[in-house]
Amino acid sequence: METTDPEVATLAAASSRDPELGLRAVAALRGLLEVLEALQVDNARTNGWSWQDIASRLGVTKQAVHQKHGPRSRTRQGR
Amino acid sequence: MEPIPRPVDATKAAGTASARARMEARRLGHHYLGAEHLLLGLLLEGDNLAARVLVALGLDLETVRAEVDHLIDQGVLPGPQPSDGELLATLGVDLKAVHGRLQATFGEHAYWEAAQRVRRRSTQPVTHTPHISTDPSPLLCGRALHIAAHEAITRDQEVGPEHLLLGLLGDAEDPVETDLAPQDRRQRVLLGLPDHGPSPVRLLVESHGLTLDQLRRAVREELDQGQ
Repeated sequence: METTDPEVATLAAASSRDPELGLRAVAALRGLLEVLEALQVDNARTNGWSWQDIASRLGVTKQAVHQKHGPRSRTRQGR
Repeated sequence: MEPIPRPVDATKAAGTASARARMEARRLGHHYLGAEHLLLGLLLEGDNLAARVLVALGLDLETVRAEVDHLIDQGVLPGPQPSDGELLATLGVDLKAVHGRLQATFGEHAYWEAAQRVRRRSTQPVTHTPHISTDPSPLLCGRALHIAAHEAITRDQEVGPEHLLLGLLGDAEDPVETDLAPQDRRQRVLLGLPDHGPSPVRLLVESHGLTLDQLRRAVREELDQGQ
């Protein structure tokens, strides 16, 4: 992707071999991924999807997805 | 930590102070909200009991900003750090574009709400006063807010700047590792913050020749006079 921001361009150039930035970028991407998953799981539940159906599309077990998203969803509805 | 007995609202001034604290964190290139930012936020809001007590004892905005800069130079607080957007841009991911699409699909606040939920999953439960919970950067002053909520409830008041200051001072009594869950410790390290040792607010107050208790007594005196 083309980037025009000079600061970002400098960071991108530096990140190729700099573990400090490279690892931080991985952590940032993981954070984004978690948020995307939360949004999509919530949306699927709102649309009446079962935990099993959601888990199979994410490629994880039903228990894993329920443990991660289940109790929090209930808390949210309670507010 | 003792649980908060009931939900408690924040006053408008407390909300303004926390918004100013967010701005102060951004100015410093910090991607978290810490006690040091909240202290500056109280001074920036200005028109409150907490700020008046701080200024009367010599801790005005300029002085506290200079002390924070000093703590950054000493490595107690981090210098400016790249944001998530900057880091993801190095991978070719345009975070702004992702936000734009998510907002178009799920509604304006969906992303921030999801970010908050994901964060809450990994950190200790914190008291969210309404105006403090709308920003996705992690809240690292949860213990101070917790104490502030207790101070307000004990007096049957809403959480105002004066309770926030009492919270900051109470939290600063103990080293930063107090009540710190392993996830919070990892987060602090990730953000370039120490995971043990005296709190920055304590260092800041004491380097100015004051004690935490002295400040706290001054706030309590003012509070009692007002009642």
